[in-house]
Amino acid sequence: MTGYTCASPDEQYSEAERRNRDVVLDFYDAGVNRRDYAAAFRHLGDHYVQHNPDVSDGAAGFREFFDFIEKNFPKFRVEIKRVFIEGDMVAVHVRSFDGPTRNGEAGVDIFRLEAGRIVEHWDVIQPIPDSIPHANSMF
Amino acid sequence: MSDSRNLQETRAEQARRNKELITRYYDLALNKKDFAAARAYIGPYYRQHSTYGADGPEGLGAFVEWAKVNLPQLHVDFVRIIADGDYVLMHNRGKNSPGTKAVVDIFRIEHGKVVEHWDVLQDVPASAKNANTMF
Repeated sequence: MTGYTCASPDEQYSEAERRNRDVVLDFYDAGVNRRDYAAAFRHLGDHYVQHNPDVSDGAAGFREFFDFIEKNFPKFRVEIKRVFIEGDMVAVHVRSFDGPTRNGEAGVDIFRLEAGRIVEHWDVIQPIPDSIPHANSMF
Repeated sequence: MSDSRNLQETRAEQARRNKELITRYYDLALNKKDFAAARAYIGPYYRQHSTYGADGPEGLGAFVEWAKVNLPQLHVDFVRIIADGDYVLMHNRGKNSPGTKAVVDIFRIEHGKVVEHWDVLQDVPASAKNANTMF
């Protein structure tokens, strides 16, 4: 996965933080963009608490949701713009393309890890409107 | 003490300081709706990425004045905060906005002042496919 920026230079992070970031980026690219569930789910812990209201709990819920996306929006993809890491928390500020909304969506996903495995996920997603009151973009 | 431990302590101290700064700033701006007080936390510029406000400190000021009249009961609970370098990311619950919204706000800090803001907002739906809530 390329094109993203981390909030801090690499040497500022602890080893565990760099590992957590790499786990989340690989999970995201495999699960969300390639829909390669076997590759994605090896990063999950023995539970995966889902807070997105449109997705059922656990790995099964993740798969059910992205099977639906694959079927209805096969070109759907998400670009990671910026990554934030603090200890066991990793957040990504993202833009989606070719999904259900005309201009794509801006979103933030937050992941919690335990011992290098992803165990919990929250997100907030906002469709990008046709016009916004400044020239700075949502990113 | 090793260099790497020094680095981690400096980083933790910066995170603590930035979380405190943003929590106080946000509470003044959106909960107390006191833009004059919040203004003291803003740097020489304020680059706005939210779809809800115009650019600059004056754009935020206009939004706060608008909220004072149109959303007087608006209150934002800070649910979790992640600090990384010059950035603070907050996962927030906006109540009486109207209805309840899930929000992530991201702030960038330069020389101890807030200079840039991004956000995403989503209505909390009446029902969900899991029992975990959006928070």
